[in-house]
Amino acid sequence: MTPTIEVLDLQVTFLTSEGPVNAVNGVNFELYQGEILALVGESGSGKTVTSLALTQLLEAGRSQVAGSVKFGGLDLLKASQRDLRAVRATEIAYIFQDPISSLYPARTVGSQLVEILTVNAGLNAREARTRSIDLLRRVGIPGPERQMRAYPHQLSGGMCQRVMIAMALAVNPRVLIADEATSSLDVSIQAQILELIKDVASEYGMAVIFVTHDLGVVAGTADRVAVMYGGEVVESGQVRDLLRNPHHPYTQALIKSAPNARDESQTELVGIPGSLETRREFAKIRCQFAPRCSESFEICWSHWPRPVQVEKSHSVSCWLLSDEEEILATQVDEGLTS
Amino acid sequence: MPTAMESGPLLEVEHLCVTFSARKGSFGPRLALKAVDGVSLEVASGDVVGLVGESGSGKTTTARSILGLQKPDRGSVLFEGREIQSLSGPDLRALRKRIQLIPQDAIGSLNPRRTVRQTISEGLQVHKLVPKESRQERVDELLADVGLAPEFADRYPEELSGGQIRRVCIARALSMGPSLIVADEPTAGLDVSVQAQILNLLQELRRRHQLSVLLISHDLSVVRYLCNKVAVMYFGRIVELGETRDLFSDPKHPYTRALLEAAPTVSAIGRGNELKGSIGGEVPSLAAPPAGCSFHPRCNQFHQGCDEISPELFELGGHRSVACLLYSDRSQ
Repeated sequence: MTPTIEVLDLQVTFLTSEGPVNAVNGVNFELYQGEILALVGESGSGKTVTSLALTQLLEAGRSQVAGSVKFGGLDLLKASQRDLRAVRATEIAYIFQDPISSLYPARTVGSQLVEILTVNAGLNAREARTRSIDLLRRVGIPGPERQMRAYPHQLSGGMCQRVMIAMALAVNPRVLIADEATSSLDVSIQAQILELIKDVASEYGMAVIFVTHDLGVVAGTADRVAVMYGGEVVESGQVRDLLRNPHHPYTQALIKSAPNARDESQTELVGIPGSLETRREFAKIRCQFAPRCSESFEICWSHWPRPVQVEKSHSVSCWLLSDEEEILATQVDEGLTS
Repeated sequence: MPTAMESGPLLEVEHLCVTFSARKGSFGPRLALKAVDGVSLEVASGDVVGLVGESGSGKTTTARSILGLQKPDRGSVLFEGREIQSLSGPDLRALRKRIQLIPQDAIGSLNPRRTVRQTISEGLQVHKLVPKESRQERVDELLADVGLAPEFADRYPEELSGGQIRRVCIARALSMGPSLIVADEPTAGLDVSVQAQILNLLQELRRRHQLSVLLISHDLSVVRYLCNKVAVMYFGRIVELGETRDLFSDPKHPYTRALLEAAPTVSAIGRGNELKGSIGGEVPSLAAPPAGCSFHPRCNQFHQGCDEISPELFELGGHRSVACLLYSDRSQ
C-alpha cells in the first residue's frame, strides 16, 4: 500500500534576529489512508511546525524548509503555488486549537460554509446551503437550519470546533490535520469532539494527523504515534506498543510526569528537570534530550543516536538500546573519518 | 495535625450565593445569573481540598468570594471562625496575609516592569513583615524555597519560563506566611513535565509550611494527585463531595462518573476505546437554567422527578455527600 502522505527528512529553520533557529530536524513519517497518526510532544518540540510545513503554511521570508513531502504524485515542498492552493483547498484540511478565532467573526457560520462549498467544491448557492445544513447536522449541531445564521461569538467553543470540522469535511479531504484541536475545551466536550473526529475519519476514509501534547488523548484516539523532542522524532510506533512499552527515556518520563485521573496506583509524579533549549546547531552531533536525561552517558553528548527498530514498526533513537560494541564501533569510525 | 473537632475548620463556607446581573441584548429585561448557588464547603487545617468543575461551573467565583474579592448575595465565609464580610481596616489586612492566592493568569499577575525581587518584597514591605535590612535575605530564602537560584531575583517576568513564573507566584504567596492558599488552576498551560515539577513543589511546601490549600482545577488528574478531599461543582452547585480516594474509586453522581470517564488517560489505550462516558450536550446557559436538577438534560440516569426537584446535598456517610435524587430519599 502506498502511503497517502510521506515525509522525508523534513527540516525547518526559522530566521530570527538572533540567528537561525532549528525547529525541525530530519523528521520522517508516512501516513496511510484511514489511519490516525499522533505527533506528540511538549511546547517547542516542533510538532506544530512540522504540521504547518507540510503544505508550506510557514511564512516564507522567515523560514526555510528542506526535505520532501510526497502527496499524490507531488512534492509539496517544491510544488507551484497553484498546485499548493488546490491541495490546501480540497485535499489537506486543518483544524486548530482556538476554534472561535479560526472563524471569521463578522460573518455567519453558514455563509462561511457556503463559501467553501461554492468556491472549492463547485456547488451552486442552493446546493451549497442544503449541503451546509447536512454537514452541520453530521457534526452534531442541534437545529442546523437555525445555527446557519449564527455568528461565531454566539456559539460555544465546542460548537465552533464542530463548525471547523464541518468546514474541513465540506471538501472531502484526504488528510485532516488537527492541531491541539481539543486542548481548549472542557473534558466532556473534548471527549465528544475526539469521538466525532474518529467517526468522521473512518466514515470519510480520511488520514488524520493529530498534533497534541496530551498522551491521554493519544491513547484514546490514535493508531500510531511519533514522539517529538527538540525537532526530532525520538520514538515512533503503534500506540499500544509505544505506550505499554516505551523505550526512550523521554517517552518514559512523559508518561511518568502526567497525573492520571483513573490510576489508583499512582503515588508520585516524576517531573523532567530542566527545560528544552533553543536549538542553533544543525548537524546531528548529539542526542537532543541528553541534558535532561537521567540516563545519559558519554556517547549521548558526542554522537547522534540513529533510530533503532525494537519491534516491527516501533523505532527508537537512543543510545541505551545499542550494546557496547556498537557504541565503540561508532566512536572508532568517527575517529577515523574526522 | 489538629482535628476539626479541636479547633473548628480553618475555612467554612456556608450556603454561598453569588448572582450577577446582565441585560438581554441592549434594551432587554434584566436577568439574574446565579453563578454560585448555595455552596457549602469546609477546609480543615492541613486539608488540601480540590474544587473541580468545567468552565462556568462557578469554581472561580467561589474562590473570589473566599478571598473577599466578590461580595456574596447570601451565605457566609468564616475564616478561623470570623466572618470575612464583617472585617475592615487592620483586621481585613491581617486576614489578607493569612489567605493567599496563586492566580490562574500567573504572568498577568506580575508587573512586567518590576523585577522578581521587587515583586516578592512588596508584600514584605507593606505588611512590615521583616526589617528593611533583612528583606533581601528573606527574598533569597523564599526563592530557594520554591527552587529558584538567587540570580532570578534580578530578572523581569519576560525573562522567565512558564514554570519559573509559577514559582515566583508561589514565593510571593508564601512571603505572607499564609495558613490557607487558594490555588486557581496553578498549572494551566504548562507542559506535563513542568506541571509535575510544580505539583511536586506544592506538595512539598504544603508539608514544610503546614499549609492548607484550596485547589481550583478543571483537571481531575491534578486534583487526584494533590488533594485529600474533593468537591465537584456543576452549574454553580456542589454535586458531590468526599474524600479523594473514595470519590475517585466509587463516584456516585452521574456527572462525576461521566467526568471521570471522559478524562483521557494513558492507560486507556486503543482507538476502539470509546470515551463512552462522554456526556452529550453542553453546560446550559445561566440565563436559562433548567428546572429541577441542573444536570438532568445531560444525565444518562434521568428519571421521573429529576426535572422537577432540585436535589440538595445528601449525606451518604463516610464524609460523602451527593446531590442526586438517585441517592436521596424519594419520599421527601
